[in-house]
Amino acid sequence: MIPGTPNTVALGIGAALGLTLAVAILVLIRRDHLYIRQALWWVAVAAVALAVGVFPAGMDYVGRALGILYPPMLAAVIAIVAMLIKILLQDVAITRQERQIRRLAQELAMRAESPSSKDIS
Amino acid sequence: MQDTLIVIPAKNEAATISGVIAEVRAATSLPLLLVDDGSADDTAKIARAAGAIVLTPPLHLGAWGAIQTGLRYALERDYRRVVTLDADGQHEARWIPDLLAVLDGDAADLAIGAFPERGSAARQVAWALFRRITGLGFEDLTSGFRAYNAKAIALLAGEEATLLDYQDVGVLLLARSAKLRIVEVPVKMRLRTTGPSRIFSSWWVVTKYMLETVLLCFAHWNRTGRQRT
Repeated sequence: MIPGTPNTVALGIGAALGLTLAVAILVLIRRDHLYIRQALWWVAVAAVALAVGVFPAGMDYVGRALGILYPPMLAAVIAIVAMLIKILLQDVAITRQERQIRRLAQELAMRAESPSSKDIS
Repeated sequence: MQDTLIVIPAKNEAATISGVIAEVRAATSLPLLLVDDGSADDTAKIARAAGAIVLTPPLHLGAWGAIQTGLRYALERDYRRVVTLDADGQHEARWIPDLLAVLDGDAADLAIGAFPERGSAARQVAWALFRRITGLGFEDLTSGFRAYNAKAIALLAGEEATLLDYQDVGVLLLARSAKLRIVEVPVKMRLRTTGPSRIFSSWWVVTKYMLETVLLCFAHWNRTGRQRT
């Protein structure tokens, strides 16, 4: 077998991984386990995974074109950067939700003022 | 209707709360709101029996979250001024008129009841550090004995102040960046009678608090305009 050309098994595994991810994401959206705003990101991830799984040579080509000595690292770097960005955005979202939750709790406390205090003041 | 509301954040202060409320009642005739931040004891019951309005947030909000609940309540009910004091009895209600007098004279939007002598050596070091980083020239940065006017209430009831955790440097930085006038009023405080400070209790908590506060100071560096002064 010629070095640099992936064999059919490896190609099949890559394609299967990409396809499984894509299907899993669609199922999660259908079952309402993924809010559509997040789902869009994951559909994009699934599409990339599928593309790289089916055409691994594409990544090698891009890697070489960019002058990367070991082209598969390109895929790893892209994946790590994408995950870092995603995690950071998640923390931003968590911060927004934390603020909303705290304010909701405050408003609930303001509405549910103890009944016995109504007749005072 | 009275235009000033006393706000007391409390967590498990059943031992001291009735004394604190009695002291406030003796010093002023102002309406009193207690925000019970997840007490496991009878704090809320005792306060209610003593005639306070009691709010009980369904989630643990922390000291500042509880105070902000009071500020938002005050904003909603059109109170013009809020005085906050701790439920552990260290703040003496007899000084409330002094704090309010500063607001009345329109000398400040936010008055801090300051008693820097209360701080331990470690606390003094922490305050000196915060003063240096922030350029805030106040002696008592962490005092919970404060008076807010309508402008300060409106600002600090807002979303921007919701994610603060303590009534200290973060609140002052926010107030300064909004160009509020902050004035310290010297008062006397009693030394803590029951239990240690919530913040200065363990080394881990202290370290975390210090790092968070230093980061907060640096994060607000540009907005606070220390360079301009």
